[in-house]
Amino acid sequence: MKKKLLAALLTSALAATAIVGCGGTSNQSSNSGSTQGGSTSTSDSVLGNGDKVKLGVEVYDTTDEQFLAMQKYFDYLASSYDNLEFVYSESLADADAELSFIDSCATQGCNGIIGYYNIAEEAAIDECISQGMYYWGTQSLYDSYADDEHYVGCYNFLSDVADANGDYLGGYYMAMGLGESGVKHVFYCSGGYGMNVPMFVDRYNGFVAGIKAAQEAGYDIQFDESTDVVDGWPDADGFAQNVATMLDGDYDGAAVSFNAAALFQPIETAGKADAIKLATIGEVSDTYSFAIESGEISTVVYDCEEIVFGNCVTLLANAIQGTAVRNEDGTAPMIYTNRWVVTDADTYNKILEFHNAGNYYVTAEDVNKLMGADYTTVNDFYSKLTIESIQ
Amino acid sequence: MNKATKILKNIGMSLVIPAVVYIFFFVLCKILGISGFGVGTDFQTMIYVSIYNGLIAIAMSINLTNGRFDFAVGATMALSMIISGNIAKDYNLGVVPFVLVTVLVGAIIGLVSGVVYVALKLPPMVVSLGLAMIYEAIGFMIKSANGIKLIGYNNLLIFATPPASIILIAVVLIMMVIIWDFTKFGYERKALGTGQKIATDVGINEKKNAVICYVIAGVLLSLAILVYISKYGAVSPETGLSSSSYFMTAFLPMFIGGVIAKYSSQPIAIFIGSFTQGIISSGLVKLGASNSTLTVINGVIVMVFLIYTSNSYKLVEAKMFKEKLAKAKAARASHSN
Repeated sequence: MKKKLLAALLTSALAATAIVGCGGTSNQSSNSGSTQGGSTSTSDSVLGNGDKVKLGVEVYDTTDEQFLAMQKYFDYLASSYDNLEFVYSESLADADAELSFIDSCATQGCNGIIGYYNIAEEAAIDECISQGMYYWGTQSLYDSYADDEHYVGCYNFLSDVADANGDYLGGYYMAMGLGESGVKHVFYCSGGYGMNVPMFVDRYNGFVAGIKAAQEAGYDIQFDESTDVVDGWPDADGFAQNVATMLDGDYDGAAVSFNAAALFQPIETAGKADAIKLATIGEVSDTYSFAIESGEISTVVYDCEEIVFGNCVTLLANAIQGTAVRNEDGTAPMIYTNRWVVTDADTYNKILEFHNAGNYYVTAEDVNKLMGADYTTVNDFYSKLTIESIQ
Repeated sequence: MNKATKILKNIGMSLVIPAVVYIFFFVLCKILGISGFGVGTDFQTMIYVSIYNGLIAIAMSINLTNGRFDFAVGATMALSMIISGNIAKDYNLGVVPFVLVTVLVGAIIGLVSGVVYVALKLPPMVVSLGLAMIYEAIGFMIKSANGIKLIGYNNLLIFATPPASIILIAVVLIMMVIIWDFTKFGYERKALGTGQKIATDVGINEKKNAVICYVIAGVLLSLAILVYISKYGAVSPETGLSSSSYFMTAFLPMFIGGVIAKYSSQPIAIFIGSFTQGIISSGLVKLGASNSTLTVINGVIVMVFLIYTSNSYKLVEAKMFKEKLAKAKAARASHSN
């Protein structure tokens, strides 16, 4: 009997953890009346009164800081509108898992998918469309789906760098940021570049181009592709040895294509906290707060969650409620946003304190105002949110 | 062969693999004009890799040699540090209480794993898969999936570098050798590992032994993650069984250790295996091998050692046959004379 009871308990625990691991279904209907972002009105809003908007979110890593920040923003939106709900995937390891999540969303009554991560490429969008759901994201496939009414568009970055995607720009801005900080010799932590992971390949190529651009702009920054690259992540073979070798060298800067926190302690242990400046693509969060204060981090290339990713809610909710935002020629829109390059502690702390106080640069009320708006209005709204505009 | 000679021979045989590997890479680096291999910071990193992987490998071997593959190794590590690190942070603990709390949490998680395994009587792989998911999910829920960040807490993060790292591994190895080779528990564990039926028939309590094994493994894993966080300052929660990445690098030390264990106590043999792995990684990094190349080479070496350990009895058989044949020939020759 005891054995059966224990088995039942273990089974229940497994089921419970499976739900937790999946991030669960974030039904926030009981959290209405939030005061966050200055928006409390839900009764007379178009979004609040229209059709149910239930969105599936595809996630690569449910513990990633950027995702957690975005999830917090989505939860805030969901707490403001009774008819807005999000369903999160677990960490999607492969294309099968992604397609299975999309099917599961359809079964659960979702009417839109947020392609925050897409490993199955066309197959994911096709599956979503075949299930009658709207799809947002995957800029690389924009041209193939722009004409499809179920494809609502994606974000892009405003930039003076031609033909650059977001990851490429991230690498580019890290190099420029380090150049502007006066760094002379930099090494680059490339993450999955050695394994040809597209995101990391783009970041690496952008970084190399950024170094060249920084040199052309007159900055005396040096980077040698044959000797100045650290491959992999902290728990990978050889990472510790590679970083140790770099920290033994004459480097005064490092660019990290993943969470730069992995380098804080090794740099501290090597006694080089004052000698090496870091640049990273990451969040404005408590993680980097002390490092940017002390000058250890000189550049954070930051995608503000409510601007860069948050526009998905505006586009999907409009499409679901019959007021789809389209270009003049009827194609799906690209929403042009700004990648914020934070290089000083004051700006960093301002953003951090603003978010920590439960505020957002795009409030639930703003999203509601964009219901039924045309492309120009929506695009202008998000495009104008620059790092200068928030000062 | 007297006792002193035997001890010297065993020490020599135990160290021959790392010595040969070290000399190989040292000479190769010298020939290629690559400096810095095996000295200074590189040697310190070798020590770090050896201690970190060695602790995980010893912990895994405790159960694996008795037929229990514990898939929850990584999840145990992550959860123990997320709990103990947050306690240390919230209550401003010093380094000694931090270590004690970490060890205690590791032991409790190990105890839970052991009790669940014994109670359910299911295959250990199945139980540990379920437990890994549970531990990962608990780690995910604590502090809103933020894990633990101790970056800047330099008074706590002392175990990635000497002297603290050396003291830690020395204490662990001494304790493990005593437990393995000089206690009733150690003998019973060996007996269960070599013949479970006979061992239980003569009155050895298998369940009690298994639970103690899990507790010891939990303690060692908590110490391994203590070394890790001392190096990197943070531990993130894992989901979807991704915590398995923590123990993937621990197989090579186990297999090298399996070969060396003929001449040494098993925990020491595994640590020497781990040091060998550290030398290989450092050498390959100095030679410019990428991360993926390193993984492939490590995999190949694991395969080679597996093939050797699985077939080593054939060498013994061949040697015995040769000796027997020589004796027979000698006997025949003397008979015919």
